[in-house]
Amino acid sequence: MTEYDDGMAVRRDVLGDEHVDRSIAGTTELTKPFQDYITSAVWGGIWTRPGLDRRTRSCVTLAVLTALRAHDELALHVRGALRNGLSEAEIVEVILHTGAYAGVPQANSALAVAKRVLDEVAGD
Amino acid sequence: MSDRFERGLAAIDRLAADHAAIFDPVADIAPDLSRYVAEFAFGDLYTRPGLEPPHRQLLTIAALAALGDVRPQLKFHVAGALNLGVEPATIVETLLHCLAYVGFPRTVNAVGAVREVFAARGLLPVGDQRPTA
Repeated sequence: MTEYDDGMAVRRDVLGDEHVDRSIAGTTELTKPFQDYITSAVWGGIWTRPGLDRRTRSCVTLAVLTALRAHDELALHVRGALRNGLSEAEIVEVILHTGAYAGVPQANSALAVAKRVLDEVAGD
Repeated sequence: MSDRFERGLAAIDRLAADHAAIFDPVADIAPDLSRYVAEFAFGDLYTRPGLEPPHRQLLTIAALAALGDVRPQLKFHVAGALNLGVEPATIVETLLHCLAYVGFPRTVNAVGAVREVFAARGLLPVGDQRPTA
């Protein structure tokens, strides 16, 4: 298995086949280097490492994305966090906690993203 | 003093040897700021159920790494994580995880701050947990 294959396996585990298939289908010659890079470097290089379980990696990722106001990725990772075993209450708790460090506007808008995604998942 | 303040002080004391690192820098200019830190951050948040204290520390470290320019706070919370029994390698792993999201400069700077805490406690070198095969 290459780092790309390992990465693709984790990416599918965390984000789900539906999302990853859609992302691959939307890949163009222009975006392929980036898609390959995140699959190999981020998913294959980092998410496969031992030392933190996937629940913890999800918690940490939600905190970072909240602080960065990276709402597209936050939406993906709220779904990923559910797939990694976090409860809705735990996801909200991570965002609440992060608000003390990143500020209330960051937590408020992250919470809106999380609520939208959790509502979507509930309606699936 | 309010219950929240007392709860906050107790939460800080569970994490750190004392709360001087938080209170002293603002004592003669904005004492209410340290009261807010105790009440809002530690009294309200750190006493909530729903996340285990070691997990809260890792989240805090991740958020601080994402913000950058927070060396004193990062060092305080890394020391707090160690005091709760979090392994040095787990703290490093948390920052390596953040690398993908916050980029190299903030990660390198965060690791540099963490290194100072580890060095002061004789915790260096930290072995790489990654299998070599």
